Amino acid sequence: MDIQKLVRDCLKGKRQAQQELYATYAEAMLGVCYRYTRSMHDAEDVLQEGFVKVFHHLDQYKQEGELGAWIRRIMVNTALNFLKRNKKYQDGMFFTEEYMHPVSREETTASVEAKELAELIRQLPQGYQVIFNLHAVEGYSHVEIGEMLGIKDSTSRSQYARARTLLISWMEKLAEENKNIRYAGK
Amino acid sequence: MQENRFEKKVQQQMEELRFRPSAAVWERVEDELSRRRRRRRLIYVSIAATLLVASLGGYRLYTHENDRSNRINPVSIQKNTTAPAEMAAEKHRQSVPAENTAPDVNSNAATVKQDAADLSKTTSQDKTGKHEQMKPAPATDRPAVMADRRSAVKENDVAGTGFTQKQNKPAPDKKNATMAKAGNREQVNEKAKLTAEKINGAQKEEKEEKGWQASRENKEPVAKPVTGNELATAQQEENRNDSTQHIAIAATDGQPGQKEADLSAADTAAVAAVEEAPGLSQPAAYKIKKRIRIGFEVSGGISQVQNNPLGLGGTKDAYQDAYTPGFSSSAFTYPASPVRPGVAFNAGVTLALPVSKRSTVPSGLYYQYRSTNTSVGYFLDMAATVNNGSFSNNVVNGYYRARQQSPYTNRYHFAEIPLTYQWQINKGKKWPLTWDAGLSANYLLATNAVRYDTTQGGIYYKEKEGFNRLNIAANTGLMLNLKRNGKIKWSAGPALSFQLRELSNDKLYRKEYLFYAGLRMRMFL
Repeated sequence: MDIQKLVRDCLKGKRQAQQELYATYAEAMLGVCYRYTRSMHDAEDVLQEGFVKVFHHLDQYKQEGELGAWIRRIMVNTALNFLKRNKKYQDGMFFTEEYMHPVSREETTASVEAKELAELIRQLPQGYQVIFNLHAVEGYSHVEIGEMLGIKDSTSRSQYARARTLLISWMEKLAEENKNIRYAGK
Repeated sequence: MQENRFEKKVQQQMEELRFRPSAAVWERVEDELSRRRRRRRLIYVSIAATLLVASLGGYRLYTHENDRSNRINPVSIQKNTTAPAEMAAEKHRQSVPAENTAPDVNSNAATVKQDAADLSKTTSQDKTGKHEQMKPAPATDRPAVMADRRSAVKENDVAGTGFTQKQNKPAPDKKNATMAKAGNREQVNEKAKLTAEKINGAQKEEKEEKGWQASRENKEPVAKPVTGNELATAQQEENRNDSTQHIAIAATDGQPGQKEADLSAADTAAVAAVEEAPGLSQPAAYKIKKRIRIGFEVSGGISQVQNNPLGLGGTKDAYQDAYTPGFSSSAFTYPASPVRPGVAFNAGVTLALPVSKRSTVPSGLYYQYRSTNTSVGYFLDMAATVNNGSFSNNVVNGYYRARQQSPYTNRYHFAEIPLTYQWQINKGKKWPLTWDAGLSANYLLATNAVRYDTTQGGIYYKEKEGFNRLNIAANTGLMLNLKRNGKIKWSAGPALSFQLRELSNDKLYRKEYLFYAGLRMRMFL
C-alpha cells in the first residue's frame, strides 16, 4: 500500500481513501486510546475525535516520519485532552508535587500477556497511568511530560517510580495466579 | 539499564495491543467530516451569495437609472437640423414622382401631424406662455413648407387618409392643446420616440431637398416651427438639469391661417419633448434627490490594539501590567511579546439617504479585516490548562510557547453595519468636502488571534470564545468628492475607527480595543 498516495487522496477529500487510512490504523490506535481510558466506550470516543483531527490536519503531515507515529502522537494528545476535559477523569489528573522521588530499580521476570498488561496499566491510579504510558510506552522524557501536563519533571519522575513499582508487584502476582491456574488445570 | 529492559518489554507488548473498533466509530468520523465540509461550503456560498446580491442590486439600480434617462431623452439631436415637418415631407417625396410632390408632402406631413395631434391630446400645455417659440412667427426669409400645404390639400386630397380634413378644421380648443395627465406620460414618450424616428430619417435627405424648398419660398408665409437648433438648446438644458420626464407640448393659438403651422409646431414640440413645465417638474426633481443611493466602498490602512478605546497609546504596557509571574509551576515565565500594527481593510455596499441639501445618512454592510502582529514560539499540539486571568480554569488544545521566535499575525474578520451622519463642510459644488461621524455594530465572524497566559512558563493559545462577538465602534472621517465620471460619483478621504468595547471578554486584566486608520474610496452609482 502506497501511504503517500493514500495521504494525497485523503487530502483531496476522497472518502474511500479516508476509510482505507482509518482501517489501516484504527485497531492499533484503539489500543493506544484504551490504555489511557477506563472503558472501551471512552476509548472509542477518543479514537473518533483523534481521527477527525487526523483528517483535518493531514496537510500538516510532512511525510518525513512514519505516518503511524504521527497519528499516534495525535491520539495521545487527544486522549490527554479528553482526560482533562472529562469530569470523570479530572480528579485523577491532579498531580501532587514531590521533591524527593525514589528511583525504582526493581526488575521482574514475570511474564503476562499484552492484554493483561494493558488491564493492569488501566487499573493504576489515573495520574500514574498517564505518566507510565507517556514514559514507558510512548517514550517521552520526564521533562517533556512535565511540559505536556504542566507539572515539574521531578513530579513526573516520582509518579512514574511509584507506578512502576506497583505495576511490577501486580505483574508478579498475576503471573503467579496464572501459574497456579495452569497447574490446577493439569 | 535494568529499567530500560523492563520498559522495552512493556513497550513491545503494548505495540501489539490491538482492538477492533465498532462500526459506529467510522460512521461518526464520516459524519463529522461531512459536517465540517458542509460548514466550510456554506461559508463560501454565503460569501458568494452576498457578493452576488450586492452586485445584482447595484446593477439593477444602475440599469434602472439608465432606463429613466432614456425615457426622458428619446430624441438624439443633430447639430444641423431643419424643421421636422419639412424633413418628413422630404422623406415622403422620395417615393413619388416629381409632379405630385406637393400633395405627397402634405400627406406625409399629415401622418406626422396625426402623431402630434394625438400627442397634443395627452400632453400638457404650458399655460404660462413659456413656449413662445412655438407661436406663429412673422414671415421669415425661409418660409416653412407648410405654407403650401393648405392649397394642396384643397386641390386634391392625395393622401386620402382623412387626416387632411381634420387638419383643416379649426382646433376644438382655442388654445389648441390639452393638459397632460400624469398617467399618460409613458404614452407620450412612446409617441415622441416614434415621431423622432421619422424625423431623423427625414433629416438624412435634407440636402437633396434644398432646391425643392427654394421653389416655394415666395408662398404664403406661415408660422415658423421650432428649429433643430432650438431643440438642441432645449435638450441640452434638459440634460443639464438632470430633470425628469415632463413633456410639455407647446401649442399654438389656432388662429385662422395658422392651423397647419399650429400642427407643425405641435409636431415639433412632440418630437422635442424637452421643455419643462415648471409647475410639474420641480416636485419630481425633489423626489429624486430624496432617493436612497447605492454605492460601494473600499478602504485600506492599519489596525492596532490599544489600552484606551479613544486613545492612540498602543499596547506597550498592556501585558506587562496585566500579568505578573506567580502561579505557574515553572521557574521562569516568558513575558508576552509586543503587539505591532497590522494590515486592515474594509469592503462593502453603501446606502446613502439624503436628509438635506448638504447632509446625508450613509449606512450599509461591510466586511472588515483587521490584524495585528506579534511573535510566538514553537507550537505544541497538546492540552494545557489556562486561567485566562480569572479564577476559572479552561483547557486548550494546542498552544505556542511564549518565546519570540517567529512572527504571528492575529487576524480578525468582522461584519459591520454603520450608521453615519455625513455633512458637507464647504459650499462649493466643484469639490465638495464632507465630514462624517457615527457608530457601527461589528460582529466578529472569525479570528485566529492568540491570547497570552502565564501557565507553563508563558504560552499563547487560540480561543475564539475569549473574544467579544459583538462590538460597537465610533467612526469618523473626511471625504472629498472627486470629479464625476459619467453617472458614477467618486469620493475619497481618510477614516478612523475606534472600537468602544473591549476586544477580549477577559474583564479582570486585559484592556484591548481595536483601532483603525486608513484611506477609503467610495463610489456611488
